[in-house]
Amino acid sequence: MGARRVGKGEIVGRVTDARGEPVVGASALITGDSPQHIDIGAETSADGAYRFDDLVPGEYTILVNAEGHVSQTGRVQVEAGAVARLHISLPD
Amino acid sequence: MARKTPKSNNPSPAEESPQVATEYAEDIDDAFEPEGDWEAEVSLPTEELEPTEEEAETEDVDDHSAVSSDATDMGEGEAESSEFGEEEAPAAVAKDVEIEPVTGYDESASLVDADRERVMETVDDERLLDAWYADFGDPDSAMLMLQQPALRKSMLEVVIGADDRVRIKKTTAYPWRCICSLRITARDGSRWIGTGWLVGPRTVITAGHVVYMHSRGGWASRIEVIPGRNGSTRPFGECTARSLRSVTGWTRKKKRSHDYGAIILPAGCAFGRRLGYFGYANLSFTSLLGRKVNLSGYPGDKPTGTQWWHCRRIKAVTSRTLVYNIDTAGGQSGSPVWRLKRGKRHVIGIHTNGSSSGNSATRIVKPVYNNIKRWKAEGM
Repeated sequence: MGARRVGKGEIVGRVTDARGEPVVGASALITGDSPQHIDIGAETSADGAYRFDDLVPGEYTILVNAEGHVSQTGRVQVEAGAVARLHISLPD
Repeated sequence: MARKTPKSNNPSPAEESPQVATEYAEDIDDAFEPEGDWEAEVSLPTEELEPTEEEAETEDVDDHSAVSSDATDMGEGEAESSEFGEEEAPAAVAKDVEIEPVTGYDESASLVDADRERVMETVDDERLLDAWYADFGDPDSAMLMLQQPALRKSMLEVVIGADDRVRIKKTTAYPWRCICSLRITARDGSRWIGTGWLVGPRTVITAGHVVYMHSRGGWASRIEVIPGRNGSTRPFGECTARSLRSVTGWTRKKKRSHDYGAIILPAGCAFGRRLGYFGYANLSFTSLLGRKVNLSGYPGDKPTGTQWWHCRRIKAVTSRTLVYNIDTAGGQSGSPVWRLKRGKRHVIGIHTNGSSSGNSATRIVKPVYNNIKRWKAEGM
């Protein structure tokens, strides 16, 4: 795990279903209305977690897409040197 | 087959230095055995963009030194091949068009570009300039933009409007079958999605951050490569690769301008021999700016594993990047940005970044071209 870069921030979160259970293998990505970011997509881990780091400060939109669920988005403010948290619940 | 103007003949890494002095000469490596008038095309006089003095001073000639995930040194590779592939050849393009003839695409949507320009006339230029500078952070590029009104105008456009990407349903046809869905397992066990494209029998080009993730332990543990994936269908199977390539400018310095890399497929996975592969080119500034280009990949906001294409004109060209309003989403890192001209397809950029102020690619300049050529030779 690398040290957080000066002036950059992170987004961490967890994706759950309507029952609060973790959604494994969902695609989590930063959408185009966000500040500049690498265009790679994350897959949620066994506990539904995802993380994007090395982000320039600003307001980001995270979209989560998983088969069998309705896609959801959430917005979060990233501050320099801080970790922003954004948990997303997917309706069935 | 590689072509160059005006330099030639596989310079050694030492001979390439200083790279900034020659990288704007055009280089083209075809996917097809050339039959037409390429020589006439590449010999056209071009207005080359000279690097600024400051840029020449700050550019580290070692930043494009190729590095490998393998413990052993890389070989020198073999001779280039003009093999196209054993699958059916692509249908001839009926006329000289710049965009792929994709069913379902409304070309009139390009009028949206004009709408965007009109919109931009009412926006605060200085504020947008600040935003662009904050994103791209390259003083030389910013200065260049300021000095050229036409460029400045194009730079100040933002991505707005509807998402008019088109799904590629026949992914078994060329060139779509040469575009690969990537499933990446990082060194720390986290999993990611990306895109790559075949440039040779066993070589897939992608973004540097796909093969080497600084905050995730460095080189990816493994990457599953799925050419022509179409949802749950994998028409050509898949292959898992662990032999990865990038350059020191990315792995050591994390320079956005050096965000590119390659995947060398195992010996039994010569997808390109059967499916064909893209050509690629290092084109001059004037050949790039305003050109309509294609981009296709595997975005994570669409049904899993489906391929989506879009096209727009290049809005800005910096010394290391291409900026465009082509719609993309997470998962499309590494996608090819290619031109279609006289029926020939040449990748001119490797998509890497999304942003509200314009999506962007690592531009294939001379050192990038040389490394792709080298990695292609490794996977022959």
